[in-house]
Amino acid sequence: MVKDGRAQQIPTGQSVVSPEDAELGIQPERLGSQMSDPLQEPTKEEESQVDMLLGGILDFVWGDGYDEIKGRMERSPNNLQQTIGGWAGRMVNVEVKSAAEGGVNVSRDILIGVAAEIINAVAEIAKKEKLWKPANDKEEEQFQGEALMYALEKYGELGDEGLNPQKSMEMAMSILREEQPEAQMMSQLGVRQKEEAKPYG
Amino acid sequence: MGSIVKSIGKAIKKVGKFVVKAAPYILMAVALYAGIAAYGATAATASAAASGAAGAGAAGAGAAGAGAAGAPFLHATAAQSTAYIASTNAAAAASGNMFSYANYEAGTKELATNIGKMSGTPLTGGSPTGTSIPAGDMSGAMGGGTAPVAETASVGWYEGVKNYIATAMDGNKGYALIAGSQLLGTGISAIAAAFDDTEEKKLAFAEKQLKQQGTHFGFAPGEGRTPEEMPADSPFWMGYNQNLAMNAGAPVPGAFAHGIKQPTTSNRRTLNYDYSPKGVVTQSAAKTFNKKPQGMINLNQKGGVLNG
Repeated sequence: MVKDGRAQQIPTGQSVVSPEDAELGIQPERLGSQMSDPLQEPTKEEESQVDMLLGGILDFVWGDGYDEIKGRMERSPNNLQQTIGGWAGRMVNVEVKSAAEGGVNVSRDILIGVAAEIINAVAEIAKKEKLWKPANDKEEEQFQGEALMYALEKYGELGDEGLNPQKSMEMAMSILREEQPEAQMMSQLGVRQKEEAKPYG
Repeated sequence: MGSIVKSIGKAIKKVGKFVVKAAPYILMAVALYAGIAAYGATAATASAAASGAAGAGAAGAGAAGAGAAGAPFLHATAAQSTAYIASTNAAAAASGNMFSYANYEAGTKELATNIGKMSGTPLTGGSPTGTSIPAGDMSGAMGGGTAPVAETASVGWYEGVKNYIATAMDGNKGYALIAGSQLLGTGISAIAAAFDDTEEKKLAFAEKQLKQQGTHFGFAPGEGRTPEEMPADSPFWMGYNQNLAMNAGAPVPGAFAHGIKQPTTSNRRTLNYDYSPKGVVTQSAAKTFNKKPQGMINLNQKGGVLNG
Protein backbone atom coordinates (compact mmCIF):
# COMPACT_ATOMS: atom_id res chain seq x y z
CA MET A 1 0.00 0.00 0.00
CA VAL A 2 1.35 3.35 -0.98
CA LYS A 3 1.17 5.81 1.81
CA ASP A 4 0.45 9.43 1.32
CA GLY A 5 3.61 11.39 1.92
CA ARG A 6 1.75 13.89 4.00
CA ALA A 7 0.99 12.79 7.51
CA GLN A 8 -2.48 14.22 7.70
CA GLN A 9 -4.85 16.51 5.96
CA ILE A 10 -4.39 20.13 6.80
CA PRO A 11 -7.61 21.10 8.53
CA THR A 12 -9.33 24.40 8.07
CA GLY A 13 -8.62 26.54 11.03
CA GLN A 14 -8.01 30.05 12.05
CA SER A 15 -5.09 32.31 12.60
CA VAL A 16 -3.74 32.93 16.06
CA VAL A 17 -4.40 36.36 17.46
CA SER A 18 -2.08 37.72 20.09
CA PRO A 19 -3.56 38.95 23.36
CA GLU A 20 -2.68 42.53 22.41
CA ASP A 21 -4.57 42.22 19.15
CA ALA A 22 -7.46 40.57 20.93
CA GLU A 23 -7.67 43.58 23.20
CA LEU A 24 -8.14 45.71 20.11
CA GLY A 25 -11.03 43.51 19.08
CA ILE A 26 -9.14 41.77 16.31
CA GLN A 27 -10.58 38.39 15.63
CA PRO A 28 -8.80 35.36 14.23
CA GLU A 29 -8.90 34.99 10.50
CA ARG A 30 -10.52 31.91 9.11
CA LEU A 31 -8.18 29.92 6.95
CA GLY A 32 -9.22 27.29 4.53
CA SER A 33 -8.70 25.81 1.13
CA GLN A 34 -11.63 27.61 -0.47
CA MET A 35 -9.69 30.39 -2.10
CA SER A 36 -11.45 32.01 -5.00
CA ASP A 37 -9.96 33.98 -7.82
CA PRO A 38 -12.70 35.91 -9.53
CA LEU A 39 -10.28 38.32 -11.14
CA GLN A 40 -8.02 37.30 -13.95
CA GLU A 41 -4.43 38.26 -14.43
CA PRO A 42 -4.12 41.13 -16.87
CA THR A 43 -3.47 39.80 -20.33
CA LYS A 44 -0.66 40.85 -22.62
CA GLU A 45 -3.27 42.59 -24.69
CA GLU A 46 -4.45 44.61 -21.71
CA GLU A 47 -0.90 45.55 -20.87
CA SER A 48 -0.33 46.76 -24.40
CA GLN A 49 -3.62 48.65 -24.25
CA VAL A 50 -2.34 50.59 -21.25
CA ASP A 51 0.71 51.61 -23.26
CA MET A 52 -1.40 52.41 -26.28
CA LEU A 53 -3.78 54.67 -24.36
CA LEU A 54 -1.11 56.37 -22.33
CA GLY A 55 1.29 56.86 -25.20
CA GLY A 56 -0.93 59.24 -27.10
CA ILE A 57 -2.26 61.05 -24.05
CA LEU A 58 1.10 61.56 -22.35
CA ASP A 59 2.62 62.71 -25.60
CA PHE A 60 -0.05 65.37 -25.73
CA VAL A 61 0.32 66.33 -22.08
CA TRP A 62 4.08 66.76 -22.23
CA GLY A 63 4.12 68.05 -25.80
CA ASP A 64 1.62 70.05 -27.71
CA GLY A 65 -0.84 70.27 -24.85
CA TYR A 66 1.58 71.42 -22.18
CA ASP A 67 1.10 75.16 -22.62
CA GLU A 68 -2.64 74.81 -23.00
CA ILE A 69 -2.89 72.75 -19.82
CA LYS A 70 -0.75 75.22 -17.95
CA GLY A 71 -2.77 78.16 -19.25
CA ARG A 72 -6.08 76.64 -18.26
CA MET A 73 -4.85 75.84 -14.78
CA GLU A 74 -3.60 79.40 -14.41
CA ARG A 75 -6.97 80.77 -15.45
CA SER A 76 -8.91 78.63 -12.98
CA PRO A 77 -6.59 77.74 -10.13
CA ASN A 78 -9.33 76.81 -7.68
CA ASN A 79 -10.37 73.22 -7.16
CA LEU A 80 -7.61 71.94 -9.38
CA GLN A 81 -8.26 68.32 -8.50
CA GLN A 82 -11.71 68.53 -10.04
CA THR A 83 -10.34 70.26 -13.12
CA ILE A 84 -7.54 67.77 -13.60
CA GLY A 85 -9.78 64.81 -12.85
CA GLY A 86 -12.31 66.03 -15.37
CA TRP A 87 -9.64 66.29 -18.04
CA ALA A 88 -8.33 62.84 -17.31
CA GLY A 89 -11.82 61.32 -17.41
CA ARG A 90 -12.56 63.02 -20.71
CA MET A 91 -9.21 62.08 -22.27
CA VAL A 92 -9.60 58.41 -21.37
CA ASN A 93 -13.21 58.36 -22.51
CA VAL A 94 -12.29 59.86 -25.89
CA GLU A 95 -9.40 57.44 -26.34
CA VAL A 96 -11.53 54.41 -25.46
CA LYS A 97 -14.26 55.46 -27.87
CA SER A 98 -11.71 56.19 -30.59
CA ALA A 99 -10.19 52.78 -30.09
CA ALA A 100 -13.64 51.20 -30.33
CA GLU A 101 -14.21 52.99 -33.62
CA GLY A 102 -10.93 51.55 -34.79
CA GLY A 103 -12.06 48.07 -33.85
CA VAL A 104 -10.15 47.78 -30.56
CA ASN A 105 -12.19 46.89 -27.51
CA VAL A 106 -10.27 48.37 -24.61
CA SER A 107 -10.52 46.52 -21.31
CA ARG A 108 -12.38 48.65 -18.81
CA ASP A 109 -10.48 47.08 -15.95
CA ILE A 110 -7.35 49.06 -16.75
CA LEU A 111 -8.85 52.51 -16.99
CA ILE A 112 -8.28 53.53 -13.37
CA GLY A 113 -4.56 52.96 -13.73
CA VAL A 114 -4.48 54.87 -16.99
CA ALA A 115 -6.36 57.81 -15.52
CA ALA A 116 -4.11 57.77 -12.46
CA GLU A 117 -1.04 58.15 -14.61
CA ILE A 118 -2.53 61.04 -16.56
CA ILE A 119 -3.49 62.80 -13.33
CA ASN A 120 -0.02 62.13 -12.04
CA ALA A 121 1.50 63.85 -15.05
CA VAL A 122 -0.80 66.87 -15.00
CA ALA A 123 -0.36 67.27 -11.24
CA GLU A 124 3.37 67.28 -11.82
CA ILE A 125 2.95 70.13 -14.30
CA ALA A 126 0.84 72.05 -11.78
CA LYS A 127 3.55 71.60 -9.22
CA LYS A 128 6.34 72.52 -11.57
CA GLU A 129 4.52 75.66 -12.66
CA LYS A 130 3.89 76.56 -9.01
CA LEU A 131 0.15 76.44 -9.46
CA TRP A 132 -0.18 73.90 -6.70
CA LYS A 133 2.07 73.54 -3.69
CA PRO A 134 1.47 70.39 -1.71
CA ALA A 135 2.81 70.51 1.81
CA ASN A 136 3.95 66.90 1.75
CA ASP A 137 3.67 63.60 -0.06
CA LYS A 138 0.48 62.72 1.79
CA GLU A 139 -1.27 65.84 0.59
CA GLU A 140 -0.07 65.09 -2.91
CA GLU A 141 -1.51 61.60 -2.78
CA GLN A 142 -4.84 62.82 -1.46
CA PHE A 143 -5.01 65.41 -4.19
CA GLN A 144 -4.43 62.79 -6.82
CA GLY A 145 -6.92 60.42 -5.22
CA GLU A 146 -9.65 63.03 -5.27
CA ALA A 147 -8.78 63.93 -8.85
CA LEU A 148 -9.08 60.28 -9.76
CA MET A 149 -12.56 60.11 -8.29
CA TYR A 150 -13.55 63.15 -10.32
CA ALA A 151 -12.06 61.44 -13.37
CA LEU A 152 -14.18 58.39 -12.73
CA GLU A 153 -17.29 60.49 -12.30
CA LYS A 154 -16.58 62.38 -15.52
CA TYR A 155 -15.99 59.13 -17.36
CA GLY A 156 -19.37 57.82 -16.22
CA GLU A 157 -21.01 61.11 -17.09
CA LEU A 158 -19.71 60.96 -20.64
CA GLY A 159 -21.05 57.43 -20.87
CA ASP A 160 -19.62 54.17 -22.07
CA GLU A 161 -21.71 51.29 -23.25
CA GLY A 162 -18.90 48.90 -22.49
CA LEU A 163 -18.97 49.59 -18.75
CA ASN A 164 -19.99 46.62 -16.68
CA PRO A 165 -21.14 47.32 -13.10
CA GLN A 166 -20.56 43.72 -12.17
CA LYS A 167 -16.88 43.97 -13.04
CA SER A 168 -16.56 47.08 -10.89
CA MET A 169 -18.22 45.32 -7.99
CA GLU A 170 -16.05 42.25 -8.42
CA MET A 171 -12.96 44.43 -8.37
CA ALA A 172 -14.13 46.13 -5.19
CA MET A 173 -14.97 42.80 -3.60
CA SER A 174 -11.56 41.47 -4.47
CA ILE A 175 -9.91 44.48 -2.85
CA LEU A 176 -12.01 44.14 0.27
CA ARG A 177 -11.22 40.49 0.61
CA GLU A 178 -7.55 41.07 -0.18
CA GLU A 179 -7.61 38.16 -2.55
CA GLN A 180 -4.55 39.24 -4.44
CA PRO A 181 -1.26 40.81 -3.48
CA GLU A 182 -1.19 44.55 -3.80
CA ALA A 183 1.17 44.50 -6.78
CA GLN A 184 -1.09 42.14 -8.67
CA MET A 185 -4.11 44.24 -7.87
CA MET A 186 -2.33 47.30 -9.18
CA SER A 187 -1.52 45.45 -12.34
CA GLN A 188 -5.18 44.54 -12.79
CA LEU A 189 -6.12 48.17 -12.37
CA GLY A 190 -3.85 49.05 -15.26
CA VAL A 191 -0.89 50.36 -13.32
CA ARG A 192 2.37 49.74 -15.08
CA GLN A 193 4.72 48.08 -12.65
CA LYS A 194 8.08 48.14 -14.34
CA GLU A 195 8.64 51.78 -14.77
CA GLU A 196 11.28 53.31 -12.65
CA ALA A 197 13.32 56.03 -14.16
CA LYS A 198 15.99 58.15 -12.62
CA PRO A 199 16.37 61.76 -13.60
CA TYR A 200 19.48 62.72 -15.44
CA GLY A 201 22.23 63.80 -13.17
CA MET B 1 5.90 51.95 -26.65
CA GLY B 2 8.09 54.37 -28.53
CA SER B 3 5.81 57.25 -27.74
CA ILE B 4 5.94 56.37 -24.06
CA VAL B 5 9.70 56.65 -24.12
CA LYS B 6 9.32 59.95 -25.90
CA SER B 7 6.90 61.11 -23.22
CA ILE B 8 9.23 60.13 -20.43
CA GLY B 9 12.01 62.02 -22.13
CA LYS B 10 9.86 65.10 -22.34
CA ALA B 11 8.75 64.71 -18.76
CA ILE B 12 12.31 64.64 -17.53
CA LYS B 13 13.26 67.66 -19.59
CA LYS B 14 10.29 69.70 -18.49
CA VAL B 15 9.88 68.68 -14.90
CA GLY B 16 13.41 67.74 -14.04
CA LYS B 17 12.46 64.52 -12.35
CA PHE B 18 10.30 61.58 -13.06
CA VAL B 19 6.74 61.68 -11.84
CA VAL B 20 5.88 59.96 -8.61
CA LYS B 21 3.27 57.24 -8.81
CA ALA B 22 0.08 57.52 -6.81
CA ALA B 23 0.10 55.31 -3.74
CA PRO B 24 -1.55 51.93 -4.31
CA TYR B 25 -4.12 52.52 -1.57
CA ILE B 26 -5.34 55.59 -3.43
CA LEU B 27 -6.03 53.55 -6.52
CA MET B 28 -7.67 50.82 -4.51
CA ALA B 29 -9.82 53.42 -2.79
CA VAL B 30 -10.95 54.72 -6.15
CA ALA B 31 -11.64 51.19 -7.37
CA LEU B 32 -13.73 50.77 -4.24
CA TYR B 33 -15.52 54.00 -5.01
CA ALA B 34 -16.30 52.58 -8.44
CA GLY B 35 -17.52 49.29 -7.01
CA ILE B 36 -19.67 50.92 -4.35
CA ALA B 37 -21.15 53.36 -6.87
CA ALA B 38 -21.89 50.46 -9.19
CA TYR B 39 -23.50 48.68 -6.29
CA GLY B 40 -25.52 51.79 -5.50
CA ALA B 41 -26.66 51.88 -9.09
CA THR B 42 -27.71 48.27 -9.01
CA ALA B 43 -29.08 48.18 -5.48
CA ALA B 44 -32.58 49.25 -6.42
CA THR B 45 -32.94 46.62 -9.08
CA ALA B 46 -30.86 44.02 -7.32
CA SER B 47 -32.80 43.73 -4.12
CA ALA B 48 -35.57 41.75 -5.69
CA ALA B 49 -33.29 39.56 -7.75
CA ALA B 50 -30.90 38.93 -4.96
CA SER B 51 -33.33 37.95 -2.25
CA GLY B 52 -32.84 34.29 -1.81
CA ALA B 53 -29.97 34.15 -4.28
CA ALA B 54 -27.29 34.56 -1.68
CA GLY B 55 -27.80 34.18 2.00
CA ALA B 56 -25.67 36.46 4.06
CA GLY B 57 -24.89 34.21 6.99
CA ALA B 58 -21.48 32.69 7.48
CA ALA B 59 -22.84 29.54 8.97
CA GLY B 60 -25.87 29.38 6.77
CA ALA B 61 -24.05 29.70 3.49
CA GLY B 62 -26.46 29.81 0.64
CA ALA B 63 -29.47 29.71 2.88
CA ALA B 64 -32.18 31.35 0.87
CA GLY B 65 -33.49 34.47 2.45
CA ALA B 66 -31.22 34.27 5.47
CA GLY B 67 -31.42 37.88 6.52
CA ALA B 68 -31.21 40.74 4.07
CA ALA B 69 -29.49 40.09 0.78
CA GLY B 70 -26.97 42.67 1.82
CA ALA B 71 -24.08 44.23 0.01
CA PRO B 72 -21.85 42.18 -2.23
CA PHE B 73 -18.86 43.10 -0.13
CA LEU B 74 -20.21 41.84 3.15
CA HIS B 75 -21.08 38.26 2.44
CA ALA B 76 -19.35 35.61 4.44
CA THR B 77 -17.51 34.03 1.56
CA ALA B 78 -16.19 35.24 -1.76
CA ALA B 79 -18.38 32.68 -3.51
CA GLN B 80 -21.48 34.17 -1.92
CA SER B 81 -20.40 37.65 -2.93
CA THR B 82 -19.77 36.52 -6.48
CA ALA B 83 -23.20 34.90 -6.59
CA TYR B 84 -24.76 38.06 -5.28
CA ILE B 85 -22.99 40.20 -7.86
CA ALA B 86 -24.04 37.86 -10.63
CA SER B 87 -27.63 38.24 -9.49
CA THR B 88 -27.59 42.02 -9.84
CA ASN B 89 -29.28 43.57 -12.77
CA ALA B 90 -26.30 45.11 -14.52
CA ALA B 91 -28.15 46.16 -17.63
CA ALA B 92 -30.54 48.38 -15.73
CA ALA B 93 -27.74 49.96 -13.78
CA ALA B 94 -25.65 50.73 -16.83
CA SER B 95 -27.99 53.49 -17.88
CA GLY B 96 -26.99 56.92 -16.64
CA ASN B 97 -23.79 57.81 -14.82
CA MET B 98 -22.84 54.65 -13.03
CA PHE B 99 -20.01 56.37 -11.17
CA SER B 100 -21.98 59.36 -9.95
CA TYR B 101 -21.51 60.51 -6.41
CA ALA B 102 -25.22 59.97 -5.87
CA ASN B 103 -24.79 56.30 -6.72
CA TYR B 104 -21.81 56.12 -4.41
CA GLU B 105 -23.89 57.57 -1.61
CA ALA B 106 -26.67 55.14 -2.35
CA GLY B 107 -24.13 52.33 -2.21
CA THR B 108 -22.68 53.45 1.10
CA LYS B 109 -26.18 53.78 2.55
CA GLU B 110 -26.94 50.24 1.55
CA LEU B 111 -23.67 49.18 3.14
CA ALA B 112 -24.54 51.13 6.26
CA THR B 113 -27.84 49.33 6.35
CA ASN B 114 -26.13 45.99 6.37
CA ILE B 115 -23.37 46.97 8.73
CA GLY B 116 -26.05 48.54 10.91
CA LYS B 117 -27.42 45.10 11.55
CA MET B 118 -24.44 44.44 13.75
CA SER B 119 -25.48 47.20 16.10
CA GLY B 120 -28.37 47.55 18.45
CA THR B 121 -29.23 51.00 17.27
CA PRO B 122 -29.72 52.45 13.81
CA LEU B 123 -26.81 54.08 12.08
CA THR B 124 -26.86 57.77 11.45
CA GLY B 125 -27.12 58.37 7.76
CA GLY B 126 -28.29 54.89 6.99
CA SER B 127 -31.68 53.41 7.45
CA PRO B 128 -31.07 49.97 8.89
CA THR B 129 -34.09 47.88 9.39
CA GLY B 130 -32.53 45.29 11.64
CA THR B 131 -31.99 45.78 15.32
CA SER B 132 -29.92 42.72 16.01
CA ILE B 133 -27.10 40.87 14.41
CA PRO B 134 -28.09 38.19 11.96
CA ALA B 135 -26.28 35.02 12.86
CA GLY B 136 -22.80 35.03 11.43
CA ASP B 137 -23.48 38.02 9.22
CA MET B 138 -20.90 40.61 10.12
CA SER B 139 -18.75 38.27 12.12
CA GLY B 140 -18.41 36.15 9.02
CA ALA B 141 -17.72 39.12 6.84
CA MET B 142 -14.99 40.23 9.16
CA GLY B 143 -13.32 36.89 9.01
CA GLY B 144 -14.16 35.85 12.52
CA GLY B 145 -17.25 33.86 11.81
CA THR B 146 -16.37 30.84 13.86
CA ALA B 147 -18.83 31.74 16.54
CA PRO B 148 -21.91 33.36 15.03
CA VAL B 149 -23.59 35.86 17.24
CA ALA B 150 -26.96 34.77 18.46
CA GLU B 151 -29.90 36.15 16.53
CA THR B 152 -31.22 37.95 19.56
CA ALA B 153 -27.91 39.32 20.74
CA SER B 154 -27.59 43.05 20.67
CA VAL B 155 -24.16 44.58 20.72
CA GLY B 156 -23.68 48.21 21.59
CA TRP B 157 -23.23 50.37 18.55
CA TYR B 158 -19.99 51.89 19.73
CA GLU B 159 -18.40 48.59 20.66
CA GLY B 160 -19.50 46.96 17.46
CA VAL B 161 -18.15 49.64 15.23
CA LYS B 162 -14.98 49.96 17.25
CA ASN B 163 -14.28 46.29 16.87
CA TYR B 164 -15.22 46.39 13.24
CA ILE B 165 -12.84 49.20 12.46
CA ALA B 166 -10.09 47.71 14.58
CA THR B 167 -10.34 44.58 12.48
CA ALA B 168 -10.47 46.60 9.34
CA MET B 169 -7.58 48.83 10.17
CA ASP B 170 -5.30 46.03 11.16
CA GLY B 171 -5.63 43.70 8.27
CA ASN B 172 -7.83 45.05 5.58
CA LYS B 173 -7.58 48.53 4.16
CA GLY B 174 -10.68 48.02 2.12
CA TYR B 175 -12.92 47.58 5.12
CA ALA B 176 -11.37 50.63 6.67
CA LEU B 177 -12.25 52.59 3.57
CA ILE B 178 -15.85 51.54 3.69
CA ALA B 179 -16.15 52.03 7.41
CA GLY B 180 -14.40 55.37 7.16
CA SER B 181 -16.42 56.64 4.26
CA GLN B 182 -19.74 55.91 5.84
CA LEU B 183 -18.88 56.83 9.37
CA LEU B 184 -17.07 60.00 8.60
CA GLY B 185 -19.19 60.93 5.64
CA THR B 186 -16.21 62.55 4.07
CA GLY B 187 -14.00 62.14 1.08
CA ILE B 188 -10.81 60.27 0.70
CA SER B 189 -8.75 62.83 2.63
CA ALA B 190 -10.30 61.88 5.93
CA ILE B 191 -10.01 58.22 5.14
CA ALA B 192 -6.38 58.62 4.27
CA ALA B 193 -5.91 60.27 7.64
CA ALA B 194 -7.29 57.11 9.17
CA PHE B 195 -4.51 55.19 7.55
CA ASP B 196 -2.06 57.44 9.33
CA ASP B 197 -3.67 56.39 12.54
CA THR B 198 -3.25 52.78 11.57
CA GLU B 199 0.42 53.29 10.99
CA GLU B 200 0.80 54.98 14.34
CA LYS B 201 -1.02 52.15 16.00
CA LYS B 202 1.27 49.66 14.40
CA LEU B 203 4.33 51.63 15.41
CA ALA B 204 3.05 51.92 18.96
CA PHE B 205 2.41 48.21 19.02
CA ALA B 206 5.88 47.48 17.67
CA GLU B 207 7.38 49.79 20.27
CA LYS B 208 5.48 48.03 23.01
CA GLN B 209 6.73 44.71 21.78
CA LEU B 210 10.28 46.02 21.65
CA LYS B 211 10.06 47.27 25.19
CA GLN B 212 8.85 43.89 26.36
CA GLN B 213 11.79 42.11 24.85
CA GLY B 214 14.22 41.03 27.50
CA THR B 215 11.64 41.24 30.22
CA HIS B 216 10.04 38.43 32.12
CA PHE B 217 6.60 38.47 30.54
CA GLY B 218 6.39 42.20 30.92
CA PHE B 219 8.10 42.37 34.31
CA ALA B 220 11.48 43.98 34.48
CA PRO B 221 14.40 41.62 35.06
CA GLY B 222 15.24 41.42 38.73
CA GLU B 223 11.93 42.85 39.74
CA GLY B 224 11.53 39.91 42.04
CA ARG B 225 8.32 38.59 40.64
CA THR B 226 7.79 34.90 40.52
CA PRO B 227 5.43 33.16 38.16
CA GLU B 228 3.06 32.48 41.03
CA GLU B 229 2.66 36.20 41.51
CA MET B 230 1.63 36.79 37.94
CA PRO B 231 -2.01 37.54 37.24
CA ALA B 232 -4.05 34.55 36.17
CA ASP B 233 -4.74 36.17 32.79
CA SER B 234 -1.12 37.00 32.02
CA PRO B 235 0.39 35.79 28.77
CA PHE B 236 2.53 33.41 30.77
CA TRP B 237 -0.39 31.46 32.13
CA MET B 238 -2.13 31.62 28.80
CA GLY B 239 0.77 29.86 27.15
CA TYR B 240 1.04 27.41 29.99
CA ASN B 241 -2.62 26.50 29.95
CA GLN B 242 -2.58 25.99 26.21
CA ASN B 243 0.31 23.66 26.56
CA LEU B 244 -1.26 21.78 29.40
CA ALA B 245 -4.52 21.39 27.55
CA MET B 246 -2.76 19.87 24.60
CA ASN B 247 -0.59 17.55 26.59
CA ALA B 248 -2.48 16.43 29.60
CA GLY B 249 -5.98 17.62 30.10
CA ALA B 250 -7.99 20.47 31.48
CA PRO B 251 -6.11 23.70 32.17
CA VAL B 252 -5.30 24.55 35.74
CA PRO B 253 -5.47 28.30 36.32
CA GLY B 254 -2.60 29.57 38.35
CA ALA B 255 -0.76 26.28 38.39
CA PHE B 256 2.84 26.29 37.40
CA ALA B 257 5.28 23.88 35.90
CA HIS B 258 8.83 24.56 34.98
CA GLY B 259 9.82 24.93 31.41
CA ILE B 260 6.45 25.09 29.77
CA LYS B 261 6.21 28.06 27.50
CA GLN B 262 4.90 27.11 24.13
CA PRO B 263 2.17 24.65 23.22
CA THR B 264 3.38 21.60 21.41
CA THR B 265 1.69 19.22 19.07
CA SER B 266 3.07 16.09 20.65
CA ASN B 267 2.71 14.40 23.98
CA ARG B 268 6.32 14.85 24.89
CA ARG B 269 7.13 15.21 28.53
CA THR B 270 7.69 18.63 29.88
CA LEU B 271 11.26 19.63 30.37
CA ASN B 272 12.52 19.50 33.90
CA TYR B 273 14.99 22.27 34.44
CA ASP B 274 15.55 21.21 38.04
CA TYR B 275 17.41 18.19 36.80
CA SER B 276 21.18 18.34 37.04
CA PRO B 277 23.17 15.83 35.01
CA LYS B 278 25.23 13.53 37.15
CA GLY B 279 27.62 12.48 34.45
CA VAL B 280 31.31 13.21 34.50
CA VAL B 281 32.56 15.69 32.06
CA THR B 282 35.68 14.24 30.53
CA GLN B 283 38.28 16.17 28.76
CA SER B 284 38.77 15.09 25.22
CA ALA B 285 42.20 13.90 24.28
CA ALA B 286 44.48 16.49 22.85
CA LYS B 287 44.64 16.27 19.16
CA THR B 288 47.92 15.88 17.44
CA PHE B 289 48.45 17.90 14.39
CA ASN B 290 50.46 15.92 11.99
CA LYS B 291 52.81 17.58 9.73
CA LYS B 292 51.39 18.25 6.38
CA PRO B 293 52.66 15.62 4.03
CA GLN B 294 54.63 16.73 1.12
CA GLY B 295 52.34 17.34 -1.77
CA MET B 296 52.66 16.04 -5.21
CA ILE B 297 52.78 19.53 -6.52
CA ASN B 298 55.55 21.36 -4.81
CA LEU B 299 57.13 24.14 -6.69
CA ASN B 300 59.65 24.89 -3.98
CA GLN B 301 61.23 21.53 -3.82
CA LYS B 302 62.87 20.16 -6.81
CA GLY B 303 62.06 16.65 -5.79
CA GLY B 304 58.36 17.14 -6.43
CA VAL B 305 56.70 14.87 -8.92
CA LEU B 306 55.51 17.64 -11.17
CA ASN B 307 58.49 19.89 -10.85
CA GLY B 308 60.39 20.18 -13.95
